[in-house]
Parts: sequence; structure tokens; C-alpha cells
Amino acid sequence: MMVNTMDLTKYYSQGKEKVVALEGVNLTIEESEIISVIGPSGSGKSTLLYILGCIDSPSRGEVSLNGSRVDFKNNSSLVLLRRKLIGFVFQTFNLMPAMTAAQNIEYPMYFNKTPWIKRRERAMMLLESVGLTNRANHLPTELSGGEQQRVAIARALANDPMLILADEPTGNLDSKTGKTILDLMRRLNKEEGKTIMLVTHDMDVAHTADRVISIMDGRIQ
Amino acid sequence: MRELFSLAFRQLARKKLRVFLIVLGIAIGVAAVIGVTSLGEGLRIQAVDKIKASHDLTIIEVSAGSDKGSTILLTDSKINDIRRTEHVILAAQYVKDPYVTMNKTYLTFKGVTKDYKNIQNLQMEKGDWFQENTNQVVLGRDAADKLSKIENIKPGDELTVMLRLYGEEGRPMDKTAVFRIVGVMKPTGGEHDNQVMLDINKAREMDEKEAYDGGFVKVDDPVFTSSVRTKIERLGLKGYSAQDEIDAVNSLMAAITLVLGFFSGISLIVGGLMIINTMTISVYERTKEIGLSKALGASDFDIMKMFLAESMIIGVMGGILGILLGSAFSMMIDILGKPFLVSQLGEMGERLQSTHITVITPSLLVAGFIISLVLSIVAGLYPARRAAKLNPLEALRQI
Repeated sequence: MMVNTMDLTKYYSQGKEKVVALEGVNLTIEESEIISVIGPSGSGKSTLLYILGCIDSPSRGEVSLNGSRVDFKNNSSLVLLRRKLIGFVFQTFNLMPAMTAAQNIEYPMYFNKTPWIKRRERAMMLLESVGLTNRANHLPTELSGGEQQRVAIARALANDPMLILADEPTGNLDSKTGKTILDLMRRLNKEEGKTIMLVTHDMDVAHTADRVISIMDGRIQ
Repeated sequence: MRELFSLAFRQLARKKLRVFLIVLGIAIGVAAVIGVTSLGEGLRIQAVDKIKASHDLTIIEVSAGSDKGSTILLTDSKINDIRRTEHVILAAQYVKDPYVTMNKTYLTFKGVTKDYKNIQNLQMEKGDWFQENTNQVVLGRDAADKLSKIENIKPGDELTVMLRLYGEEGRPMDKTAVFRIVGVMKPTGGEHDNQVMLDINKAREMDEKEAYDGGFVKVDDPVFTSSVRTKIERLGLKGYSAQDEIDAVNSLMAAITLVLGFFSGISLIVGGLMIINTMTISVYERTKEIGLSKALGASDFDIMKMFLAESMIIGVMGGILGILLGSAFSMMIDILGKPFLVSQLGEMGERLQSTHITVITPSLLVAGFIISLVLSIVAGLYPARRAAKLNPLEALRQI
């Protein structure tokens, strides 16, 4: 099991009101599985993704990643999980604007204290695998949306994580470009055995996955 | 490390104008400190040079000392001890008493040795130095004028004077003596001009003192002055040299420079606040980047390092620019301030004409640079901590 949650619950307090984002979610994702989580906005799907990504913490319940329970109180263990186990892909690409494509891919490896030469090598290798070798020294503003997202995927793979969490990865792309991104993610799953969780509100995108989970008002349907 | 700073550089390069303004702000503060301190240093060196020019630094003045309330007198045995000290070439003791002429002119008579004349470099204007163990005396220039004007006594004439001593019961006892004036000394500009020199043995016969009133010790090289002086003080005596004046000037100027430097350093506080302000704005602007970095595996410390690296670069640039501006400022003080000082100080100011009133030392520049660097790091701590503590989720959600 790559991901396992038990009774995962998250409340937000908005003023005096308590807003339920997730309620008793029990979810299992096997290793090398690609699943999509679909739901309307506000359904809690992004909250689920960020809790699994160790950026947010649950109000109640447990999360196990790669077989061990996540201690949400231990900040340094969360940092290590984000650094080594998890790769993020965002809707808005979120590349560092001051860095070139290659530097963006090197960035997570910098935090992982990968030696400089190896970082450079791996960044070029990853750029090649997403077909952007010729864009290595371009700044994000010089890249198209699809190219930026491919760089972002390459960045998510930088530290060779087992779990890729993608939050609406095609949301800001036209459908044709979106399809190439989805193909790329499938390929990662098939060829490299990455476990992928894809959060989307788009049915067509969701059906790219092996398994589709529908979420509504914080509960899995 | 290299990566950290090159990233910090790229981040700063995105906001060139803003960075330039803070760097300038800090540089002005550093320049003010360097300029003011260089003026203090320049004036200090001027004052010290003046003392060095008018005083012989190889001479130590010795007088009776005191130890736990009891007085340690300058006796023959102490003088001999001093003479035996290494690096001492001459030691000249003296006694000094107030004498009065028959017409009530008061004069200080100083009983001295041949060595005394040599140490003090006393030159004759008229006549000769007195012969030892005789009643001959030599007048200081002003004393000679006084005697010739008031009493019409000239060199070559006899001089009858009285010395008042006090007996054991405190009863006064006057002793009269007749001396012959054999010469007049060249003006020295010091105490000797008003004094009358006589043979030390004669003087002691008169005043019946068991010890000397003081002495002068000459060492072979100014570098040994302070060590010889320490040895003299270890004998229980008091020592004084022009170095004391230099030390006093040094510590006074150091205090003045410190105060001035501190006030000019207030502009550095403004510079520090500018860093805090700008870096904090920068943290807010880059909230999303910070959240993203954390999602990509950055620890709080990684984030803190990144922001500290940026403020350090600002500090380095501020330091370098501050050194350049400070040197220019210092030169400006020298060029514009010197005519003013010269006109204000009159005769003393004229000496300044050919020199510089500001002096920049390498250590001053290094200090300016270090101040800038430390300031930037300290000022960068708050924004950096703030960035490090950002919640990555909230940071990422910001659009």
C-alpha cells in the first residue's frame, strides 16, 4: 500500500462556523496505481491531496504513506516526506520565475542535497524525457503553458519520488495540450511505476486513471 | 553555498531599483561612519604628532612616589638603581626651591647636574654654564630680563638671595647666600626660562633636603620608554613621559570618535529598518514561492538561509559602496573642512594646511564593511524567520 487513510477528517473554522472539508475518508492506493479523485470545487478533493502531500494536517484520523504512519506533529519528518517520497504537480504550474527550466528541475534536488553535477545531469535527463531539451535555459515566461507543465512534471520527478500528487494538472491547458500531459503521466505510471493521484473536476481527465474516486462534501461516494 | 548565493542573486536581480535603494541607504550610513571616524582619526594623529614634535619621547620625568600612604623619596640610591637599569643613558636629579632677592623678587632656583643640562638640551645665549661646586649660577632668559629690569642686576654681577627654611618646630629660618651670575640660557619656551640654575651640591647645602625633588631619565630609544618607566614605577617612584599625553589624547579622541561615530551610525539604523521593511515586503510578495519551495522539500531552515543570503548580499554591496562613498566623503571633509579649521584655529591651524585632517586606515574600511554585513544579517533575521514560519498551504493557496 502506497497510501492508506483511516477516518481522515478535516475541519476548517471559518469565523465561528466549523466547515467540514473531509469526513471519515478511508482510502487506499496501491503502489504503481494511478487513480483520479473527482469532485466539484469545495468537495474536499484538494484538501485530501494536500494532507496526503504532508502540506496540510488532518483534524482527526490517520495517514500512512509507503507503509509508515505520518506524524503530522513532527515538522522535520514532514519535510523529509515531501522531499523524498512526494512530487507535486499544480494547476498553475508554479515554476520559480527567477529560474530557468533546468534550474527549476534542479531546485528540489538542491533541498535534497544532491551534488551539483548530479543535479545538472538529472535535470537534463528529465528534460529530455519530457521532450524539452532545447528549452533547458528558458525562463518560465518564455515557455508555453504545456511546456511549463511538462517542466513542472519533470521537477516533480527530480528526487525520484514514489508518489506523484497532481492537482488539476490540465486545468489551465487546452484539451489537446492537456492530453499530452495526461499521456505523460500515464507513461510515468506504466514505465516507471510511479503511484499517481490525479485530482480533477473533469470527467474526461478522471477517466485516464485506472480507478476513479468520487468525492462530495468531504465524503467518498 | 554557491547555489544559495547565485539563487539569492537572481532573486535580487528581479528588483534592481529596490535593491539599489537599500544598498544606497546602508552605504550612506557606512559612509557617514567612515567619514566621521576618519576625521576623528585625522585630528588624533595631528594632536599626537604635535606632542611628538615638541616633546622628547626618550625622556621620563621621575618624582617621589607613594606606597600605601607613605612617600617613597627620590634618593641617591634610587637614582643609582635607575642608572643601572637597562637602556638608561642618563639620569639627572634636581632640587627646586623658591628663593627671594633682597628686593623681594621671587625666583625658582634649581640645583642641577651636568647631565641635566644635556638631557634638557639647555643652550647658552651669553656666558658659560656654571662650574661645579662653586657659587656660580645661570639664568633663564625671562629670569634674566626680570632681574635686569627690576633690580638692575646683569650677568657677571653678584646676586644675593634668601631661602626660607622651617625648623623642626615650624619656626622659620632664613638663609642668605651670594651667587655670581655667569651666563644666560637661550629661551626654551618652557619652565627653564623663569628659573635659575645652580650646582646641585650647593643647592642641597642651602635647602638641607635629604632627597631630590625630581629627575629626568633619558633612554636610548623611544621604544624602551614605557618599559623603563614601568621599572622606575616598580621602584615605588612616579614616572611621567610625553607618552602619557599621547595616551590621554588617544583615549580622549577615541571617546569623541566613538560618540560621533555612534550618532552618525544612527543612519545605519535607518538602513537596517529599510532592510527589514523591504525584505518583509519581499516575503509577502513571494509567499507563493515560499510555499512552493516547502512543498518541493525545503525545510524552514532552507527558507531562512535563502532570505538571509539575500540580505547578506545587500550587506556586502552596501559595505563596498559604503567604503567607496565613505572614502569620498572623507576626502570631501578634508578638502572643504580644512580651510574652515585653518581659519578657526589661527596659528595652530596653519600647521594643518600641508597635511590632511582626515585619515582613512584599512582597519576603518574593514570595520565599515563588517558593520554593513552584520547589520544586514541582523536586519534580515526577522523577515527570514517570518518566511521560514509561513504555512506552506496558505502560501500555496495565495494567487
